[in-house]
Amino acid sequence: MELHTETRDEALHVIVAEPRIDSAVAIRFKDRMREVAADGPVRVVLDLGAVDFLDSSGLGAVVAVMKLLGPGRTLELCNLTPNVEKVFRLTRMDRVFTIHPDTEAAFADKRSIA
Amino acid sequence: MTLPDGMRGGIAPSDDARNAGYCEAQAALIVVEATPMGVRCALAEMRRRFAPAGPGPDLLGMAETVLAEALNNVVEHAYRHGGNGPIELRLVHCGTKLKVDLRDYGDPMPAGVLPGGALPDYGGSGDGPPEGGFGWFLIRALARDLSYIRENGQNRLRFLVPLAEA
Repeated sequence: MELHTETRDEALHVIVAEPRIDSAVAIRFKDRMREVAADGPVRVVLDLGAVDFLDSSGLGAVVAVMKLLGPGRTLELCNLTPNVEKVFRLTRMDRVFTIHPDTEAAFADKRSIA
Repeated sequence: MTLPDGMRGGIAPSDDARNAGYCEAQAALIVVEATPMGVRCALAEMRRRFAPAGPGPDLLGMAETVLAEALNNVVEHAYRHGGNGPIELRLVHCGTKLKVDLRDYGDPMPAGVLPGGALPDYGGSGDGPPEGGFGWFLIRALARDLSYIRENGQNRLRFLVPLAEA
């Protein structure tokens, strides 16, 4: 499970460099996210632009990551591909997460405030 | 049962192809082991078989989602008491739909009927949003003409899924 991270505008930008988050890798994804986000910035932006496919296990893992960050931190999403976006929309999880259309939008607010 | 490389598959004419009516294509038969990697193999083979020749919108997105959920259910529930297969998938391209016939030899559906398609409970419990329970919701939201029979130790789930962009 390859994740690339950088700190950007006081947020942690996590890019998932994998084409799928499915039942074969959902637990590994959750564990790797726990590692990279530990003791990090309050705001975490998960970039799913490389992910073509996410099943219900993957969706559950993203929800689990949000919960393991705890109440003081936020998990936002950006760059959803069409099939992934549809899974979030159908399951109404698009109401649970702040979803930005692209990376620029995910970090635009912070820039304008700064 | 162990299949050497996660899958054995191929294209074979079947009763489905002969009974498919206006669907003239032969059924694609895909046989995989009941593991997460077997599910990946089945989905990759489905894409290889049914992807349009040229560029364009991804018409297999809905089919891949429904198939993934149905296959994951077989791995996690039907074969939960052990054994890793096989799972047999027969696919026929019927105009704007994919006709799916999914068979396994694991445990029957609880009470012999298909689960409902309600979304899991959201937040009312105080535990926050649910982490599971989306599988049958997605299948019922995207598939049509679902039917299930249990016969001679075999589960057989059939449905249609539109070939449409997500």
